[in-house]
Amino acid sequence: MAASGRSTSKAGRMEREFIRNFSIIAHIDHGKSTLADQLLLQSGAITQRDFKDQMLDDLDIERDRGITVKAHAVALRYEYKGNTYELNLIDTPGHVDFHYEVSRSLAACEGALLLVDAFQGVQAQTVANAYAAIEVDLEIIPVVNKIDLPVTRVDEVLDEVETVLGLDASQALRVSAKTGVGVDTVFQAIIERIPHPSGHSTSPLQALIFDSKYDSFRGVIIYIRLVEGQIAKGDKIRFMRTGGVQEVIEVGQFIPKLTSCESLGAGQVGYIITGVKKLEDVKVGDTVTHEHRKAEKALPGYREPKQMVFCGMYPIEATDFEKLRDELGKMSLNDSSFSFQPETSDALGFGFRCGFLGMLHMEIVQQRLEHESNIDLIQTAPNVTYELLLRGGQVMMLDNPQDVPDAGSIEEFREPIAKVNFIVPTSNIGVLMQMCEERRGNYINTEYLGPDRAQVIYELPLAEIIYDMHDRLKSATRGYGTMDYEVIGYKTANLVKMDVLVKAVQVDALATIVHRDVAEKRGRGLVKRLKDEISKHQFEIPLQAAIGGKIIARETISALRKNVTAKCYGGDITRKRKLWAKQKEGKKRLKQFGQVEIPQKAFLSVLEAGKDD
Amino acid sequence: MCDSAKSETEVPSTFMSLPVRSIYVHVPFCEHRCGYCDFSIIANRAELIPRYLNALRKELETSPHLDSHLLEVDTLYIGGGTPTLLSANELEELFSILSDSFLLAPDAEFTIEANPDGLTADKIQVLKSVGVNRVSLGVQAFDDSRLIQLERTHSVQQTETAIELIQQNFSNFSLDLIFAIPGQTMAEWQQMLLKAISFQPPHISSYALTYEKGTRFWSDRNKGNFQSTDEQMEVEMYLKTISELTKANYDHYEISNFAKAGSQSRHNNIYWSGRPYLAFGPGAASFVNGQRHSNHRSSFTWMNRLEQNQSPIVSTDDLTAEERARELLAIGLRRRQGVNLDDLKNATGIDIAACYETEINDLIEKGWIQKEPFCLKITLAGLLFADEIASILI
Ligand SMILES: Nc1nc2c(ncn2[C@@H]2O[C@H](COP(=O)(O)OP(=O)(O)OP(=O)(O)O)[C@@H](O)[C@H]2O)c(=O)[nH]1
Ligand code: SF4
Ligand SMILES: [Mg+2]
Repeated sequence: MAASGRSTSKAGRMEREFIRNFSIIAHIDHGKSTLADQLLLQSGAITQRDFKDQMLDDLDIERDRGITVKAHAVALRYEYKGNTYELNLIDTPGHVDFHYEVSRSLAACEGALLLVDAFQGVQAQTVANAYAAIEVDLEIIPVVNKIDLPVTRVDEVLDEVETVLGLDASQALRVSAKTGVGVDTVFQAIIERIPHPSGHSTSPLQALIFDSKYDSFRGVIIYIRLVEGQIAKGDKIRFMRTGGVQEVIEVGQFIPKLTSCESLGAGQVGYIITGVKKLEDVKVGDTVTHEHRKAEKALPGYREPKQMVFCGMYPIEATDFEKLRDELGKMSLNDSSFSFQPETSDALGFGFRCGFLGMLHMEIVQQRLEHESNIDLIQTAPNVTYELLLRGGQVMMLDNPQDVPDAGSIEEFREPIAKVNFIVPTSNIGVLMQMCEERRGNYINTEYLGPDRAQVIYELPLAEIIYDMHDRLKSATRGYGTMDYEVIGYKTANLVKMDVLVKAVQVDALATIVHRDVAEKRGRGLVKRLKDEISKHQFEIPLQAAIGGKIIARETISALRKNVTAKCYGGDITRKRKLWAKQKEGKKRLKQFGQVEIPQKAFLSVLEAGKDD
Repeated sequence: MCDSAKSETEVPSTFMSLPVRSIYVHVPFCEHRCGYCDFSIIANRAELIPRYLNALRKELETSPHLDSHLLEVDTLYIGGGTPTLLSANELEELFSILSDSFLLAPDAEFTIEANPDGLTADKIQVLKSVGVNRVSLGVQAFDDSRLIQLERTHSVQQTETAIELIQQNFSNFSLDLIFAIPGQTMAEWQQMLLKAISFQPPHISSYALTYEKGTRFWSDRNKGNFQSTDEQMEVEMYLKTISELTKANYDHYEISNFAKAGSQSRHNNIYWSGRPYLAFGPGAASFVNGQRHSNHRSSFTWMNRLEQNQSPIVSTDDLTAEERARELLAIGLRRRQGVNLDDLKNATGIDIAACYETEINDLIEKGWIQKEPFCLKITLAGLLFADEIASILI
């Protein structure tokens, strides 16, 4: 029942009765992007020939990893009961680091398809995303996806949808985004159940900027949802919050490529291109209006996404500092949720303190840096932002352990606390609670989702979960547990800075902030891990962890006596060559401290607290 | 890439054009897999030998580096595995296959590896009749409990008999020894060396026991089932080896190899000097026309591929002149005679001393290598760090 090819290719104005705006939301990997593919295919927006999996995931990193990190908008035309409808779809990311992308997308819609995997059922991000949609009053259509899987638990999943999310499961759809089964019912539900937008094209223009993207040829592409009024090429517009005034150079829709048109009207989703060249000059969440016929007030904006983790990035070659600055600058052109500031370390020299939304975000930025530039980097262990109340009464935010002032001048040391929502098999509740208790968790409650699964809520220090909680949860629950978190505030804790000395020299970049009660244990684990990461030298290397000058743990790396393979004959040479080349490559990633070479991995190993036990 | 590498096209690099005059053949059969062994072998499957021989024949017939003419060779090395696990008849067939492709030069070195337990008088007769003139015997230890620990299948008694038999029939032979076996003391190792010397072999190879991934020794050590020899002790045993054998008039000519005057392994010197060779059998690697070709390591895959008319080669490394030069230096330094920089330059067109000036000076400063006119040599201290040196130069 796909629409005819004729009406799909054109962008342009549409009466609001025939417009539906919706997001696809779900837990990670439940099939959002695959369903978007099907909707594109079955509406005829793309042909089978042009099709590739997860079509909308156009960033390299998305295609490499098979995950969505950025929301993607696309306009479809669909023929239904004799009328042509414009369906504006926004595919969203499922990973918790990019949750803010979901909230932004929802603000541009009247409805949401909530996908739930027919086997995995309701998971932590299903809950988080469903609540985000409920909060802004969207019409939610539950869709059980992957019904083609050999093993499904559709009935139980529907129970979960009712009990956990409070949605009417009898209205849920059952589809396979992979095979296309049931996708026609999705189109039908979108048109029948999601309300059309309510604005008027004759009112003064109010358009919400819900995303932006940097294009090296055309400057900044601004994604908008028109709430009231209309916008056309040549219009003089004003950004209501930032106050900038620009002329619209191009207006259009994503079908799925940028397709320009004369104008867009109330209720529609599309893009504009103006003279804006830098991403930072456009504020996502801002309202666009006409300079000569202004709207009375701006639409409610967004909360800025908050950087949760920080780490230092240092070029191994000091001469690469400026090059690194350029590369980071380029990176932030595409990604305004990432920040960087110059900093110095006695150990590592000149570098940058970078802020990220979470660990996945950090990993992605770092990988892109590595792919796109050829700077060898040392990255320090990530940390959260602390709040310090100083003796004099000032409050100081701290995102680098090196900057912790003298203990005597600190009145209160505060750390960010997250509310963490776990969904786990009931048989794993015991292990989970033990994990949380070890991480200074504060138990809130447990709610059973059915006979076999439960939702457990804890308040935990962000620092305790951000680094490896997710991996540990996965392994403790054999992959079945999921988690979602949200920072709820700061709390005072007995925190101290732990220093590390390598061959009696303090290496500032290895310093961490730890809770006093577990400092000894962490210190012992840390020097042990460093011992594994730093290879033997021709002399002994003492490793020490210290708090306020007092040594709390030590290890010694014994001297290297030999490094020689006994046999090197014809058949061994190829293998040996590769081994030597690998060792040589490894050496490039070493930083020299006095006489000791410390590899990149050592800086990250300081946080692998999970291995302390 | 260093500047002088630009001359690559102007200076003809002679290593590309050297003719092949050395052959290695891998025989992948053993009675039993020793606890430390990660070679490409199949244990206790002697019934596969005929199939292996057919595959080998096919590999030779279809080799792109051989034609219908007999190739005259200076060195031929039959290694394993345990080549002497083949019966006298099978050995004859093996040599008949080889003689369809190769012709031994008048003064050729023809080596076969043997283990003490399978080396019977009738096999020795076959070896002699086809021209084998060097036997490399896997002795490993002169102590039955150590042999059991290593999971060797022979006894000291068998070793002594085998050496006697070899001495009666071949003037040139080599003994392989292993040191740093868990529990072994210095006194014990010294005894072992003296015992080996007492047979007056022209050549001795002495290897530190290594722990390779996938072997029983590797996993047992990682499980903590036993303690491997302390590194310092291993170093001392190695230094003792050098001093004892030097005292007994053996020339320490490569990291693990010692020879009486005129008895160095010519075949192995081919590997270390970067001259070309062809190699056949599972896991074997050839070096020809500046390329390294490696056969599949699995004997079954190697046979299957040949039987299905597919090439047994799994990887080919094309080395640039600079890579060649670096490799020659890294591997050449394993020989105590050192690397002649002029020869290296002539062979590859790369002035390595100029390219790697800083690295080389660093190594000299560390006391690991020393410079003599036209020549770089590894020092005694450097021998212990040969892989470290290689990874800096490669
Ligand atoms: N069997 C089956 N597999 C599906 C179905 N839908 C999606 N998948 C598979 O599930 C995996 C994840 O699909 P995506 O569409 O990338 O999931 P997503 O929700 O967009 O993931 P994120 O964007 O990373 O949150 C892919 O391997 C898909 O092929 C389905 O209906 N049936
Ligand atoms: S005899 Fe040699 S090749 Fe055979 S298993 Fe033992 S060590 Fe390995
Ligand atoms: Mg996706």
